[in-house]
Amino acid sequence: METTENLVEVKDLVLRFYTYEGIVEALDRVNLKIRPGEILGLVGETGCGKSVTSLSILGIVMPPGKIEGGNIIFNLDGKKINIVNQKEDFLRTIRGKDVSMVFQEPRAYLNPVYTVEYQIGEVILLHRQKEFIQKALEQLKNERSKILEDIKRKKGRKSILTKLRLKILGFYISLYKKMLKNPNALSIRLLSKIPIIRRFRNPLKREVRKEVINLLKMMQIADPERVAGMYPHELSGGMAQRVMIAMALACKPVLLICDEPTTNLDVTVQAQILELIQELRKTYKSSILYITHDLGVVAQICDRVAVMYAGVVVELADVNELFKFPLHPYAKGLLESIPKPGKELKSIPGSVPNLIDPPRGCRFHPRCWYAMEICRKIKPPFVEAKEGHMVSCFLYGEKREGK
Amino acid sequence: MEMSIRFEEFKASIKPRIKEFKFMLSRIASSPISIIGLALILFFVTIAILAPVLAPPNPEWSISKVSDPFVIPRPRNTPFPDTISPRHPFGLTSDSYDLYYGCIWGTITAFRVGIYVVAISLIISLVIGSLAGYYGGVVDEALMRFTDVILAVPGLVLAMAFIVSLPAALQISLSIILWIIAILFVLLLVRSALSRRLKSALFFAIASAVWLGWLTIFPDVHASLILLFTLWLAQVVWADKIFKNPPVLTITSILFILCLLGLHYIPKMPVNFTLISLRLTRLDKVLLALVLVGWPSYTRLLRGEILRVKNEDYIEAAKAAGASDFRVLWKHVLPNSIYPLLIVASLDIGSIVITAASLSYLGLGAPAYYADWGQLVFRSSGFILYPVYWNTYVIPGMFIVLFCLGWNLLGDAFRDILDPTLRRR
Repeated sequence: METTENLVEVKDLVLRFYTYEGIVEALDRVNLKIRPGEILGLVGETGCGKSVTSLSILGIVMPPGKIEGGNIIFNLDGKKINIVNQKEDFLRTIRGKDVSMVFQEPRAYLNPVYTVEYQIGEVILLHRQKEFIQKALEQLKNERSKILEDIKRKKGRKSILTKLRLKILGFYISLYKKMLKNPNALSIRLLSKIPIIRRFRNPLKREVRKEVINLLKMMQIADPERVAGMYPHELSGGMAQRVMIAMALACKPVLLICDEPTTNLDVTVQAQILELIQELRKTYKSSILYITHDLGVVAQICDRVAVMYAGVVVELADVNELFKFPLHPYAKGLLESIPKPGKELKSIPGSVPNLIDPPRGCRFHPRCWYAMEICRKIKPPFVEAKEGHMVSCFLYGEKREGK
Repeated sequence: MEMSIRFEEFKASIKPRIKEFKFMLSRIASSPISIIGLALILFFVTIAILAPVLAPPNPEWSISKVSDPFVIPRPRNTPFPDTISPRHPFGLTSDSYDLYYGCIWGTITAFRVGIYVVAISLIISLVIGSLAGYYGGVVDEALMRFTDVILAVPGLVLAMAFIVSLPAALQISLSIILWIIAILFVLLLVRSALSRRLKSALFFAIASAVWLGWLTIFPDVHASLILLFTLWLAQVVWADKIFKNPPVLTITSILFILCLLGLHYIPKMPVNFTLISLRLTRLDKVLLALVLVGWPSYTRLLRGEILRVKNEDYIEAAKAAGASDFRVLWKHVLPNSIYPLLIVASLDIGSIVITAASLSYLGLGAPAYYADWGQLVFRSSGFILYPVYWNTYVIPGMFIVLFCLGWNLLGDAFRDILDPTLRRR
C-alpha cells in the first residue's frame, strides 16, 4: 500500500500516569506515521497528549508516567529501532542527534547560567565530537607545516619561541590523535581538568565556535559573533527561539519535533520563524513534527495533519484534504471554530473529558452530534476512509467494512 | 598576523565574563553598605596576612618558651590585667596575656575557623544534597531524616557534646579502609543490580561477599595479602580482562591462593596497623564539631534548590539533547542552584566565629594560652564590673563584632549581586 518507508511509526501507543488521584490515561492507542522529509502537523486542544506523544518519541517519559503498550518504530539508516524497549544509554545517543526538539518557551528552555555559544557547543560536543577533533587536528597539522616551511625559508634558524610553539603543537597533535580514538578516555578527561594544560582543548573549542557561528548565521541572526557571547536573558523571544532551533539542528537530525515553537511569539516573528523552519526543511531534508493548536499555522506550513482528541489521534490526512473534507466530527467542529469575518463563531459543546475517568468507547461521543449506540461501547478503530485519509470514527468504518 | 587573530578570538571569548565581572563591580560600588563590608573584610585580611609583622613573636616576653606563634606571650607572671600602655597597646588581660598580640593572631584563627568550617560543610552538603535532591526516593528520605535528627538538637549543645566526645587523635587504620572498600563493593552491586547489568552485578556480588566474609572472619588482616587481592580486583575491574587475559588472571589468582596458605601456616603475622593518625588539638575539635553540626542546614537548602531547578524546563531540554545524568546534575542543575548556598555560606562565616567564641567562653574552645578572640573575652569575664579594665573585654569584643558585621554586609552584597530578579539591565 505505502510506497515510501515511514521514518517514525507510532503504533497503538498507550501511556498512563499513575497519580494519587488515579490513573490518568493520557494516551490511548495513538497511531502516527511520519514520512521522511515531510512536515506533519499535530493539532489538538491543550492537555490532549500532543507533548506527551512527542516526548515519547524521544524516549522521555516523565516519572509518574509509564508506557503500557504499543511501539514506536524509528527507521534509522535502514535499521528499525523500537524506542519503547531501548535502554537509556542508547536513547541518549539518539536524542539531540537524530531526533531533537524545539520547545514552546524558548527562554525557559535555555540554561540561564551559560552563554549561547556554550549551550550550542555542548550539544555539538556531545554528539559530533570526533568530527570536530578531526578538524582541529587538521588545523594543528596545517599550522605546524606552516611553521616548518617558515623555518626552511629562514634556512633553519629558529627562535626559542618558535621552538616552544613546535613543542606545544607536537604535544597537542599527539593528544588529539589519542582523543580521536577515544574522546572520553580517562587520561584526556583528567588532563582537561588541570589548569594551563587544559588549554589543549582550545583548538577544538575554536572549531566548535566556528560551527556555532555558522549555525547562528543560518538562523538569520544578525551579528552572530555578538549573540554567541550573550546569556539567555539578554535575548529577545524571537532570537531565543532561533537559538533553540540552532541547537536542535546542530547535529542535523532526521526528525525535528517543534512543540508549539511560535505560540509565545508575536505574529511578525512567528511568520519569520515559520519561514525559517520551511527553509531549513529544504536544506536539511529532515522531517518535522509540528505541534500546535493554531490551524492557521498548520494550513501554512504542514504537508499532512494529525488531529488529536483526549489522547487519541482521531484523524490523519493531507492538509488540503483535511481542510476541505474533514471526516471526524471533532475535526469538523475544530475547523468551524476558526473565526471568520461575518460569520457567527461556532464552538463544540461540552468540554474536554477528565482523563482519569475517560468516556468509554469513543472518547468524543459525549460531545458528538452523530453519536450512535456503538460509540458508547466500543472504541472505533483507526481506519483508512479514503486514499491517505485515516480516521477513527464509526461513521466511516462501516463503509470500509462494506467494501 | 596569526597571533593577532588569536588574540581577537581570545578577546571575544572572554568578553562575556568581563562584562559579568564589571556588572558585579558596579553592583558593589552602587551600594555603600557592601563597600563597608568589603572594606572590613579586607582590613581583617590585611591584619591576618601582616600578623608576623604587626605582632612579631617575641620569645623574651614569653615565660614559657614555645615556638608556636599562636601562643600568646605573657610579659609578666601575675594574674591581674593591665590597662593600655605604650609597651602593650591594648593592655594585658587576666594572667597578664598580651591583648594586642592575642587580637592580631586571633584574626588568623577566626579566618581559619570560619572558612574551614564553612568550606568543609559546603563540600559535604554538595555531595549529600545533590544525591538526595537529584535522585530522590529512598536515598532522599534516608539522608533527610538523618539531617532532621541533627537539626532537632540545639546546635551549640550538640557541638559541645561532639567536642567532649571526640577522641584525642583520629586514627584511620587499615581495617577502616577495608570496610570502606567493602561498602563500596556493596554500593556498586546495588547500582549494577538496579540497572540490570547482570554480569557486573554477579561480579560485585561475589566480590562483596568474599570481602565482607573475609573481614568478619579475620578482623586482623595481613597487609600484603589484602594489597594483592586489591590489585587483583583492580586489574579485573579496571581492564575488564576477566575473560580476555587469562594468564595474568591465573598468575595473580595462584599468588593469592599461595598467600592464603601462607597466612594459614604463619600464625600471628598480621597486624591491623594505623595508616594515618591525626592528632586533634582543641581547636581542631571545635572545627570538627562545628562542621558536624553545620552541614545539615546547608544540605537541606541545597536539596530544596535542586528540587526546584530539577523541574525547570532547561533541564528537560538538556535531557532532550542527550546529556547524561551526571552531566545534567553537574553542569546544569548545580550551577543554577548553588547561589543561595553561597550567600548563606558567606553570612555564616561570621556567625560561625561567634559560635566558636561562645564555645571558648564556655571553656570548650581553644586552650587557655591560644590566640583566639573567644578565649580573650572569656579571660575578661572576671573584670566586667571594673571599668578600669575596659580594654580586656571591649577590644576583643569589638574584633568579633566587626568581623561578623563585615561578613554579614558582604553576604548581603552577594545576595544583591546574585539575585536573579535584580538582574535586569
